[in-house]
Amino acid sequence: MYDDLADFTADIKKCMRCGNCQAVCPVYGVTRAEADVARGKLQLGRALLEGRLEPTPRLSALSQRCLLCLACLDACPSGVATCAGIVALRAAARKGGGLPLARRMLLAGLARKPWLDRGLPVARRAQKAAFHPAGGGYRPRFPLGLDVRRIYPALPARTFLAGIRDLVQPPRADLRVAFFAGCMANYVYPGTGEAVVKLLASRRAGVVLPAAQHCCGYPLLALGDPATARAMAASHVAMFHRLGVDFLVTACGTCGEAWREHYPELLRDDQELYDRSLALATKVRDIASLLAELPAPGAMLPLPWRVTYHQACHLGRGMRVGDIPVDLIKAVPGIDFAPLADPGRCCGGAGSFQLFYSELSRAIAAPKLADIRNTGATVLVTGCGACRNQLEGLLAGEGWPGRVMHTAELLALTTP
Amino acid sequence: MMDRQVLRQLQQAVGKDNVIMDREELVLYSYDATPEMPPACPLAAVLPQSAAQVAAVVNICRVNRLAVFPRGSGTNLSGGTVPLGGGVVLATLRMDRILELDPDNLAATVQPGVIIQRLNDAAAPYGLIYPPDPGTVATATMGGSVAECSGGLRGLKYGVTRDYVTGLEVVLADGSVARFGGKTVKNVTAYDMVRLFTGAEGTLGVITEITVRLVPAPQDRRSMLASFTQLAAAGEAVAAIIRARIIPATMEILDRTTIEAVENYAHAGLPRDAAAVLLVEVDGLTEVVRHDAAVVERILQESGGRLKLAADDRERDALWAARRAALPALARLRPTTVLEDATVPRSRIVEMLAAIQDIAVRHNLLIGTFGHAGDGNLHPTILTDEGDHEEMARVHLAVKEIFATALAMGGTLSGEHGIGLAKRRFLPLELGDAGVAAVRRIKRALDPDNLFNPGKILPEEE
Ligand SMILES: Cc1cc2nc3c(=O)[nH]c(=O)nc-3n(C[C@H](O)[C@H](O)[C@H](O)COP(=O)(O)OP(=O)(O)OC[C@H]3O[C@@H](n4cnc5c(N)ncnc54)[C@H](O)[C@@H]3O)c2cc1C
Ligand code: SF4
Ligand code: SF4
Repeated sequence: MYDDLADFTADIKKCMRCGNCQAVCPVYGVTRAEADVARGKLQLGRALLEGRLEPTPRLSALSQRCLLCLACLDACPSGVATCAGIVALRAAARKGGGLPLARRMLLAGLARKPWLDRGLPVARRAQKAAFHPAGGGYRPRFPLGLDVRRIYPALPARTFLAGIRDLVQPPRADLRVAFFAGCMANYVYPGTGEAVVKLLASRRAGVVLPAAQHCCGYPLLALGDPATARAMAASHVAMFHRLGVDFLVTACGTCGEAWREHYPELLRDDQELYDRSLALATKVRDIASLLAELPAPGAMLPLPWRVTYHQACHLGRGMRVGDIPVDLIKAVPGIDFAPLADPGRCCGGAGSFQLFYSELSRAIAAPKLADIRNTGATVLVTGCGACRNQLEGLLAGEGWPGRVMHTAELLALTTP
Repeated sequence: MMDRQVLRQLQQAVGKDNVIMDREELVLYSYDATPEMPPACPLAAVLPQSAAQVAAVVNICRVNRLAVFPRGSGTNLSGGTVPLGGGVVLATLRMDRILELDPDNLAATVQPGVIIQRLNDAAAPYGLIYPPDPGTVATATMGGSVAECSGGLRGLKYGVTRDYVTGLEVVLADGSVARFGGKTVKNVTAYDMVRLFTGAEGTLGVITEITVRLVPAPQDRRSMLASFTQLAAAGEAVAAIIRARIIPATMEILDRTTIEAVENYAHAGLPRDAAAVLLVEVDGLTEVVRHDAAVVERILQESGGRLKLAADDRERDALWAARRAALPALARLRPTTVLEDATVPRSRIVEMLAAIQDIAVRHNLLIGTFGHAGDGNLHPTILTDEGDHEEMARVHLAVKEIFATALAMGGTLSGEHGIGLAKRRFLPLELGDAGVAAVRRIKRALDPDNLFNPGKILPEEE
């Protein structure tokens, strides 16, 4: 799957071009360009399949302008697999060249864990040289192709996985849980990883953390490189299959979805790996969902904050966690919960989208930032490191005084 | 390929960022929501930001003998925006300002690229609504819906787009900008030019500003759903409601095929053995709503309907979910969806439904029909596969028979989707030679060079 656009012929034909996706597409909402909405993307795919277009750098560039936010998937009356089709279009369009160097480097970097691990100290030093410290993070000193109006997070001294043992075993463990940390918790926000481990241990779960785990591969798949994504899926499925755990926990909707949806799709041609990926898929839980399934460890510490919650696309529409995280937040004593008017609207971050289309990304985020400010909350919670990165950066850039944290971090603060 | 010099002129007129000329992107301005249209790629697409820019584009195109294809969101169902024979697509999407909301005059003035829902959102704080609500209310532009004279679910009580448009600014074929009508309720100056351009499908000029009437939002509303084991009984209920002099805001009907599809898809709790479902909503002052709802309930029951009422907004949503699911449920059944809009006088609605079912059986096609029983506007939805030529031939026969049947009952080719490319060859069936000739004379008088949306509405001359 994903390697051959022809696999999506049925979906592409099923698009009746009704245009309903226009109403929900955040990119189209800003640009009003047909190429930026699912209908346009699917018709590009159709033209490619029918030979009316060939893969060209321009086609590839058009195919990249999408957040893969899944909003169109929910809005589509015909049930078209919009995002999967767009991913396949990217892979097909790339064959004509035209993926910019920066994105090719990102692909190469994500595919090689040692590069990333070794890259972190280098990146940290570079960050000190090229950025001013600002708003608890860094603001670029000169554009570098980055958005100088936003704050990028200070990179940690070492990765989350380097700072923790392979197995965290509480005195009495009732179950075993594997934690798939993902890039954001490992490289950018190790505090999220630590919070997840603390929460699980407090629920009497032994936490297994395979040190060799790396990027889930979704960013590669999304940029149009299913072959490498498949290799990463295979290595992860082999690695986690052996652990014999009760659950596989993620702290990022995209990682969770990769395990649940994309790994089986990618591994379809290898019966053994495919079966194993399906078995693992049933064990995947977002950290909030698993916490809701496990008995609470006793009294919570109060937090006297006004809190709001942003629903990450791949948690809400992807993993379908629904109101679970919000219910957990509301249950914390002392918290005054102020919901967003439109919690599920994409923040415009979308992985590397905010790096490569920073102006557009900022315009997409604008209503979200206003929504957050209007709640009067001083703490913004979200279940996704990439959304956090986007919102933290943009809000701090505007001088918003509040804090942004992962759901797990907030809940860990209530755990004695 | 477009002449470089013309391209440069267009870029000068509307700005570089508002001219699309790459082949890859132009493919995306070749279609709308209509199935089976010829692939026709424009030479360029422009997205002007003001009437002056529209006029400049029109002038450049006229001088260079390029057709102009006005376009909003491209959601019409009659091929209205297909750029037949190439030319320039002029999309109004970046003219999307609400220019004025005037609650004292119950009026609003908007640019053509404003999405209908946005106007309603803006009017809501004043307790006002803009009633025309096509299924695409969240995506269609005001310009496109005025050019199609869109209808919607509330036609019976609130009428259609033409009943709300009171003023227009239009760029004409010679590049001049004309204004017709305004905010006043009364206006008999010269011909009713506002109505002429409303529903003209972009063949007479480009609408650059629209003034519409707003009405007070109803204070209250109540919905009820009734299922019938006999189609005729549902028809009798509709007639009896009108005979009781009740004008519901909506009166929607779903046929057996649609009910089954909705149940399989959404499990909305519709009885699978029903031959038809009626969804009725009354609105207005609370006292009136209470009275009207009681009468409608009694009539529905007396006609043999099994009732389901909505006590609150949540239950109302549940009832409406079934109606909203109609198109998605049907569209999923087969690769291609052909959405028609045969329309007959209200009293013949059941007869028409039965005729469509008969046509489906005779041509061995899957047709689900739902629609606006209150105003006689039905949406026979043919589920088929564009790739299957033998089946498509049967679809074409069926469509032709549906039109002929509707016309024989005193109905029309199109209640709200327009003629465009899709139905132009049937035009003489309804208008006759004299009627077609009159339409052609109007088109020639206003657009002598056949600049605007050529090939639409009128059948090609031999
Ligand atoms: C799922 C679905 C449901 C629908 N339900 C309904 C319904 O319930 N009722 C109904 O009436 N219709 C319905 N439609 C049809 C369609 O949504 C309407 O015709 C809509 O009003 C078109 O708006 P648009 O902005 O997409 O216009 P477009 O499709 O872009 O254009 C429509 C026509 O208007 C012309 N035009 C556009 N802008 C201008 C302008 N500024 N000046 C002059 N001409 C212009 C175009 O040339 C074209 O002929 C439905 C369509 C779909 C796909
Ligand atoms: S996934 Fe999001 S950004 Fe991409 S086309 Fe769909 S709605 Fe638009
Ligand atoms: S909503 Fe679905 S069917 Fe409609 S245009 Fe978008 S992708 Fe196509």
